[in-house]
Amino acid sequence: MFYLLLALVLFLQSSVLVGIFGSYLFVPDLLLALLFLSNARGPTNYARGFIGGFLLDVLLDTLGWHASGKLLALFVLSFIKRKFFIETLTSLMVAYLIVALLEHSYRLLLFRSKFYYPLEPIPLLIGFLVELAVVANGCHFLFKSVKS
Amino acid sequence: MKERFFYFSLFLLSVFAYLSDLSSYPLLSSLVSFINSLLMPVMELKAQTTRRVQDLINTYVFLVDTQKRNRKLVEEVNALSLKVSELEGCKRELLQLKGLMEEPPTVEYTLAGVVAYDPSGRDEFMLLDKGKRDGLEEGFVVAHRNVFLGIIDQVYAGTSRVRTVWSDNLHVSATAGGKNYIYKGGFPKGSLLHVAQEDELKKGEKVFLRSLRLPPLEIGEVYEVYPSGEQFFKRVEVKPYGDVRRVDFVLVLRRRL
Repeated sequence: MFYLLLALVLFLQSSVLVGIFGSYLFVPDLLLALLFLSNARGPTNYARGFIGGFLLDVLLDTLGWHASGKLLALFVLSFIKRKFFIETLTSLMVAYLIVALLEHSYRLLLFRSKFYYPLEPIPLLIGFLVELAVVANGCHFLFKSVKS
Repeated sequence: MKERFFYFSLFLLSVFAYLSDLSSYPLLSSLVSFINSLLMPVMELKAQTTRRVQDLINTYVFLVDTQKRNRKLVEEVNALSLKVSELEGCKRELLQLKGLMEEPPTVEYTLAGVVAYDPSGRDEFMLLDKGKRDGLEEGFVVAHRNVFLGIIDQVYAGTSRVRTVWSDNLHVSATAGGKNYIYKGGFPKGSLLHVAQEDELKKGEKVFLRSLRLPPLEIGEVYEVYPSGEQFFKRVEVKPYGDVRRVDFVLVLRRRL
């Protein structure tokens, strides 16, 4: 199930969303959302994160960019899980906000250290909001499935 | 712990790979090309999808823009249609007015040569080579270009005499500063008669010949305004423009003032 979803997300993120947002810098990171939702409970699976990031890098020809970002996000998530209880929708969203902001900032900095591309705040914000909406829906679904 | 260390190493390796373009290294290029050949169909599909989505987005944005522009243009066209109907109304009214008004009078003129000047040197009159035989009459206006020179006061068979703007005996109706006065000729300056003390005539103000049936010919300009000569009126001197002795041909407007 996870790998099917991963394939769909990779295809969406590397082709359709890039077409819509114009640059892969502003694309909502659905892979991060998927990894967060799949690792929010239980032990953190770094292998999935690395594979997902690596495959996205292959598709976008940015070897190491997404892979390192996803591993960093999973490190941070693992740390948060060890220190805090993430049991409610709000706490999950707050945790995701922290993870996503760190991951995106890290990736943008990494990109900026190598290339220059003008950052447009509006597409960036729209992309992030889309990502948050996806995570919120996913969390809702997660809680529902746990309850049932 | 070992797992974390392993993934941390992978993290560092990924950062290094990104920053140093590891995929372009000769040792790894064969591996990269192999992976690329495996993924070629996927990459092509991805590129095509991206292009199509971009085309769709561009078309959508273009259509939205066009729709907005169309709406604006429709508004402009409506406003212009209103203007056109207003203008049509104006045109109709103007045509009706034109029909009601009589045709504006055209001034007939005769070109005459100057044959003699005033021997006193005061340029009070000049003699023209056209007279009764040419249809000239007393009271016809004489001008040079747009400058008023004088009025024919005596007509002979083949010649006629013009009383010029320099003559003390010339009195014509004139306009200056939006008000009507009497211009009295004179040498070396003419004058405006009966200029009230409160009239604001300034030095340099142009003085025109006043006539309802002739174009406003220039007589001269106010040369000096003296505050008070009499109780109610001030004295205004006018320097006429007409330079009689420089003129060889004049226009005789075949109409009296």
